[in-house]
Amino acid sequence: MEILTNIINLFGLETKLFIAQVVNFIVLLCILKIFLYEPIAKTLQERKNKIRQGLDDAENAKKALADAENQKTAVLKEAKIDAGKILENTKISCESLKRKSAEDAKKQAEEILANAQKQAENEFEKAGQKIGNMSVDLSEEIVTKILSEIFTQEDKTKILARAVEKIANGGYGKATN
Amino acid sequence: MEKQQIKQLALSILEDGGVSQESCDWIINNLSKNDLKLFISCFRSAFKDKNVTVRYAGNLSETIKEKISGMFPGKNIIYVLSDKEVLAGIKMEFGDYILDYSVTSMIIKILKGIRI
Repeated sequence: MEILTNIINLFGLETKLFIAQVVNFIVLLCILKIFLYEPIAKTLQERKNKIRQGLDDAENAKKALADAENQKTAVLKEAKIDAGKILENTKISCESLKRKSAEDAKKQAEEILANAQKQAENEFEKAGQKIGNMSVDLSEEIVTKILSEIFTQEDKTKILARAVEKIANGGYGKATN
Repeated sequence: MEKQQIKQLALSILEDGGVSQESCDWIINNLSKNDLKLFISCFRSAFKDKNVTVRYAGNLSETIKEKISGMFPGKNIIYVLSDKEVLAGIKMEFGDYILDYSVTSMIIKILKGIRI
């Protein structure tokens, strides 16, 4: 104890002063802790949290972007496949429609041709009949004219007498008016 | 006017020897359109019944005329020279009948047979 007191006296340490300084230091520490350290620590912690949050958000956004990119690729791929299928179907429909139209047109053309042929045949027949009748009428006229020139008065009188004779003997056919 | 009366009128006019100017005026002024039509039809029919029209070509001798008169006793015979219509032969019309013994009718018959 004496040694201790001697050492303390050697270094110039005074007990009361030392205690007061310690108390002072503690009070200062407390004050600094309350008014400086804790707010700063709080601010730092908040900033740290914000940064972490931001980093997490960025990470999530990156993930979401990657997902969206994948989805986009998948949708595009599907759309391409569908478009291909639709195009193929359209081609097939087009081909069959083309074929059907060609067949219908051919059938229609054949029908028209057959009708035209039938009509032409009918017209030909009618024309033939007409010509036949015209030639008969003409023949009638010619024969009548020729006979009127050929028959003399004497011939006519003879024929008349013969006709009356026949009628008188009952050799005639009646016709109604 | 009634149908019977119109028929009687037609017959009496025919017996008188035909339609005179006086009777014609009376008919036109007193008969309606339908009656007139009926009168003409009755007159035509009565004329046909009473008369025989003979169309002929050539010369008609008295012998032939007598023969024809003998065929239609009591009828009035009208002779018509129709060279073009008959050509040769004879054609008689009496009532609703026709006796056609002409060359023209023969030609027509032949040509009818070959007509299409």
